[in-house]
Amino acid sequence: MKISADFLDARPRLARPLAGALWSLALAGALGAAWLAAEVIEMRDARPQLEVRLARLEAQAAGAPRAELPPPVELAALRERVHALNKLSGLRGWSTTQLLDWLGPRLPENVHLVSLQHRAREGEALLVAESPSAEALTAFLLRLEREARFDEVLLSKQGTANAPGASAVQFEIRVRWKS
Amino acid sequence: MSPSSTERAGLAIGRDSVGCARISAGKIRSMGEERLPLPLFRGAPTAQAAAGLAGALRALAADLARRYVPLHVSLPDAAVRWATFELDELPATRAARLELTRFRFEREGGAGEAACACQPLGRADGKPLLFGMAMDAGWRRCIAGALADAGLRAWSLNPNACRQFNRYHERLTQSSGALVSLAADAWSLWLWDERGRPRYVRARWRLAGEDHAALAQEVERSILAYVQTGRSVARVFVAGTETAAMGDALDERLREPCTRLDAEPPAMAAALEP
Repeated sequence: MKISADFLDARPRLARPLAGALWSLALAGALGAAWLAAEVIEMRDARPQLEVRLARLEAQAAGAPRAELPPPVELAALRERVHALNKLSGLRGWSTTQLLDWLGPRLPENVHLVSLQHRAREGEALLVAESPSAEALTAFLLRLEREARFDEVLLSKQGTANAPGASAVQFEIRVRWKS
Repeated sequence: MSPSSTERAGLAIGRDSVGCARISAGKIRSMGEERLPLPLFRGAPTAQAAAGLAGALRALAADLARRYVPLHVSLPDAAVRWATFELDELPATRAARLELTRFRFEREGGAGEAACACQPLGRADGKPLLFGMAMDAGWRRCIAGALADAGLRAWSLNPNACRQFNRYHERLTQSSGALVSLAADAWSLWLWDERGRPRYVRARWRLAGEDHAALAQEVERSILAYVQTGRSVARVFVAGTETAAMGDALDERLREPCTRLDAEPPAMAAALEP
């Protein structure tokens, strides 16, 4: 067995990992430098073509007819009118798609949505749900009532469906969003 | 600093002189020796001894100062105490092993604080072996300070016999054996077992007027004492300076002729075997 014992003080414990880390860093730096050099060469090759393209675009821009913008006062008035129109046509509450997405997972298995009237401007919707079980419809109604974003959930009408050979209960429910 | 991948240097700090050898691409580039104004390893180290050593190092190896060249420093064997400890249990950490080595050397005698080095050697007869070396901590600091003053940074600091043993390791450890290593100021005898593990090391300063025959007689006595403990010495090797003369003296005393290894001075051995 060769003798490796030595009277020199032991190397610091982190010397070897530190040397490894520095070598890795140096290697990463060298690779990065090589990549940057390749990029520079590539960009240098593409430069004449890009300069030609830029010159052509500048020429096109210089030759294009210039339309003067209206004065700032007129622009501000136009902005206000657009804003007012947007406000008038603005929706309250959810969109129809949003409402349907929300209703999907909350409908009990034996409850079917028969009709949906979504009055976006009024911020309300009229749902007609049908089920062979009145309990299932009641559970659905309770789920609607628990939704915090609804201001009001009202059972406006309860009846039976007139399908031949079947008896089903129908609930007409009005839902209003919080403003 | 200039990096050199093929250049290497060896320094042999002796009692009365310092030797330096440089090799480059496997070839000897230069060798030199500088006498010290004051002898080392006698009594406690002094500032004058340290200054003398630093001056000799500057004169010999100024071109190696602050350069990235592997520099291996050898010490005279007689400045080091050696032992292979048979332990009941090997301490788990290096620090604990060093502490145990220090404790054992201090218990076995020796004045002053000891600088120690150790290496586990596996198990023998169910007991873990720990090879230990100790030198005077004051002299170790003195050498480190002188090297620093001369702008040199050692890559290793080992006794000459360690390097000789490592250099010829494959050849030596085919079986049990003994290595007699000679330098101008000290000699040592290494004895190892069948698995090539050093089991006993004896080192001494050379005395004035002590000829090779007297050294051979001392070596013979030590080998006989070792063999009487139930161990074997299959072959005897001689290395270092005066190999031929020492080999002849040993051949006169031993039953079988000894094997002569290259007669290299310690500085060259340091450069060749880190």
